[in-house]
Amino acid sequence: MTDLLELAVSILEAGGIYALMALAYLVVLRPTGIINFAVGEWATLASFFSVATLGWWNLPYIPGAVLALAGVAAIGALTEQATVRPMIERGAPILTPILILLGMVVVYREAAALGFGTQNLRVPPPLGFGRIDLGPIAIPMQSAVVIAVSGIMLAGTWAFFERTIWGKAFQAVAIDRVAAGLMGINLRLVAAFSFAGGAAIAGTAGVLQAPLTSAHYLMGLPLAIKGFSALVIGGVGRVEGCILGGLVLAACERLVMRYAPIPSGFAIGVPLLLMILFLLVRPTGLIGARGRT
Amino acid sequence: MTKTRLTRRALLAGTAAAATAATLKAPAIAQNAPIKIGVITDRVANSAMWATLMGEGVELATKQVNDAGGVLGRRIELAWEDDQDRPDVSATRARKLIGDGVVMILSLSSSTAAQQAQTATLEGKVPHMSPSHSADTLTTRLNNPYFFQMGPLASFQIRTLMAYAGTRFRRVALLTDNSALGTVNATSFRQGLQQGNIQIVADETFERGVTDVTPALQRVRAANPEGIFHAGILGAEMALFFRTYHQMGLRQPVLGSFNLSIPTYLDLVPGLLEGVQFIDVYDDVKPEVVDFANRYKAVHNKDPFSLPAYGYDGIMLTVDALRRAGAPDREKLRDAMHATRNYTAVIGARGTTIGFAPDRRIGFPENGCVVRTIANNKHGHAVWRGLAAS
Repeated sequence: MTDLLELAVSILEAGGIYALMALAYLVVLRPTGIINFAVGEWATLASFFSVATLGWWNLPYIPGAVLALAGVAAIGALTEQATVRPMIERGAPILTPILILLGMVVVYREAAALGFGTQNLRVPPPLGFGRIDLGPIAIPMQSAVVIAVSGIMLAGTWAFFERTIWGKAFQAVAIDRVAAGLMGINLRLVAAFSFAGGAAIAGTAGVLQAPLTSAHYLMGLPLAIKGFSALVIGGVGRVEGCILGGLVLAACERLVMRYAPIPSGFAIGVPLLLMILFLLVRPTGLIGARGRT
Repeated sequence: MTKTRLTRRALLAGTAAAATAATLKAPAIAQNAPIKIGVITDRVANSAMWATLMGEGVELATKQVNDAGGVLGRRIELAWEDDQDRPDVSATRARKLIGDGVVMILSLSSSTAAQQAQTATLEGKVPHMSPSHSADTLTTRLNNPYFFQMGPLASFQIRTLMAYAGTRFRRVALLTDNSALGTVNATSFRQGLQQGNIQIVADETFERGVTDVTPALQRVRAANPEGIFHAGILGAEMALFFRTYHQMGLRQPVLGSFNLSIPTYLDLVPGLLEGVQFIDVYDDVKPEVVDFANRYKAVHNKDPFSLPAYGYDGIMLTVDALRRAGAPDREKLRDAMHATRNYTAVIGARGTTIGFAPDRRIGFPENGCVVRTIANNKHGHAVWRGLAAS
């Protein structure tokens, strides 16, 4: 029983991180059509920024974390303006910005290594590393923080898309970019906002993960892979798909790690196997997109 | 006019005097080209964490040698190359260094990169040394008479841990990560434990980038081992292990490889490594270590540990071999390296020395490891040396 409860916490925690990474892809992908593989590096940069704001400057946790996320959001917006927008405005095929952003992975990574070094750096947790005792289970404090913050972020993003006019504008651009432009939606602003938002969401995953593992300039790639897998599993369309995809992926990984009669290290193949499986059997994912993409 | 002529004469005389003085006072060292030593490091990838720190020792030793007049009347010049911890790139960098005329190549990045670089040093017939690598297979997979391994083999590490703690355990868990070195270390640990008739009741591998190790540690907990042997090397995954170990309330003693001698862990998970016992080659009461520590501290204003010492010894052993070779000739240097006996390095337990037996190219002595324990978030003194108590 204890094992199952611990696993449930572990699945919610990891599922939250994966869902945020999937959401970072989605927020950029839906209005622009661009798969941005640099989301992992955005998580890395935010975790390093939190080393500076929380570790070196000793800011209180919330202002420090917000400052780190603002920093990476600004980088996201700048990236869009400096590298993606010129290509789009020149009528380049969609593959061009995807490749440019793939190149930006290296730029971000090298910049992080140059700026913060190659050593693992500690990020202080907001509430320490104690445990909350709840009857038969003790929930690690940082796990509770990860679950709560990722839940709030995911719910907030869902509300943004579903309940605000800005969110509707994003949806409109996703459904028909040309028509949305003709209706007066500022496509440039939507693109810039999607990159800034995507960076902030990926950054949140990085800032939540870093206290558990440390900030390291190579931490982005595994997060990017898990996020992309969750996106494919959940469906490249809606916030609910990211949440579901993240949770399904985390559950499969953890159940394989715990109960499959194979070394736990083999769980590294679970995201890729699931991704292949979904692409073959259900390419739209568990929850498909609304309207035309 | 007179005044102008006098000034010109004075200028000419002064110039001539200065040139003569410069010629007369120039040390012999400046008349010869420097001796080039190639260093393949990793500045950007997985092994940068330790390669960078070893590089500090390499630079410290080079400065010390050059400040003392160099070797064979010539300065040492380091030629650095970055292999990004990629085996294919490492071989390419080794070829470049060979083309640049280095007499020795030190490999500081990963074992797999050093393994691949050997194809180039074997082909180019250039002495090649790994100051720190622990992979048992580095000198066996390729019969490269130019390659020398100075670090403590993983099999030596597990034998030392077994000598120290083996009789206390009959059932243990073996943990590692899926890095190349972590996998190699775990293989040696597994063999050592099995040879010691110690049952491995849980054998878990953490993937790079894992966000939670709870399921793996649940398997460990369910297997109820008496101790946990950790052969992993990845920093983030190690930090995650120690956090989860404490959060799950595990109590089994943790025994680790030489990777835990990196003080970074004390910063990453402060207070969570209390009581951890780990292998090291840094015996801090040894006179050579004290001398090295003073020199290092004077430059870096911090206490050193094993990693800079490996780099320092790599250069110092090369310089010692160059002196014995009598000339910066690759073949003579190779012979001198292989003839090394009883070289007292910074690394190694008190009373042990580095030497290459005629039929082996492994320099670190089997009894050269020490066991240290972490207390008060600091590395304690050695509590065990070699394969028997001292």
